Amino acid sequence: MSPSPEEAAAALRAINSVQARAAGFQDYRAESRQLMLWGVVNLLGCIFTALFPSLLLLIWLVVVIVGLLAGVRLARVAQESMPGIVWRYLVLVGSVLLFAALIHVVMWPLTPQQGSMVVPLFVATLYAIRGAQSRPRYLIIGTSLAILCFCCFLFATVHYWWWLALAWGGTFIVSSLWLRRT
Amino acid sequence: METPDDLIHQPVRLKIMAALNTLASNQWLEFVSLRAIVDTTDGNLGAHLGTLEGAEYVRIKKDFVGKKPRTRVSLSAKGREAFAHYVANLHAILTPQNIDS
Repeated sequence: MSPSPEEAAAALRAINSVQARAAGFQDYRAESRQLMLWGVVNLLGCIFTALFPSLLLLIWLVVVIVGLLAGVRLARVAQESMPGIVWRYLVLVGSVLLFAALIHVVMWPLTPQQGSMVVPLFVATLYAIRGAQSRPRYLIIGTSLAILCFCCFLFATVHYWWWLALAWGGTFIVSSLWLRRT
Repeated sequence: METPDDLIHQPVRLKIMAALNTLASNQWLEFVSLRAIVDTTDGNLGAHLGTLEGAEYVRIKKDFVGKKPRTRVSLSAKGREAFAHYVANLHAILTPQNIDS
């Protein structure tokens, strides 16, 4: 027997709902891998900076390059289902790094603490915008990251890099685990 | 007017087909991910996947990642066509002339 118009409309609503859920699920899964990677990278960067503050530039150069190479490798896994993802990923990470470099030039001289706020606050803003436009969990991640890092900047005068490791790397890692849960 | 495919019209199978239809033709979705999207139990999902596989609407692949077993599911070309046909039928039911009649 043919379904009634009400049943047909309900079925179409169910299809839209599942498709939105499936798209969100896949998006969160892909993002969670990158968040875990950059969470670990930032955590290590902050910890090494705390241990060897005089090597700050070298430490961040190494961890960012390692993170970028690993990130490209992760993006390549998704290349089959999302053509062009590797180039888009490189443009995104390149834009963040370029933004950080230009802010340092414009605002120079910056203390290491001031400089360390540029990337997390910029990335937090990107997540908040993305969350407001499409997926609400990104809004929560962006807001949490901004608040925790800024609190760290304002209040963590002692052991600053250790607190930033938790606020920045820790937020990314916890967010990654959260995105894996539907 | 045609009757929509009864095999797909069942609510859980409808969700399975809708979720798999979001993937590219050569893309597979893990069983655990599909279960989370469809929001049902292992047994229920397995039973409905068996029905859909019997109709050749889905393909099921079982392998190992290291020592861990993994089940992946994909929509077949026949399943994709059937789902498109099903959705077209639903839209046809909702056209003004069919609602009035």
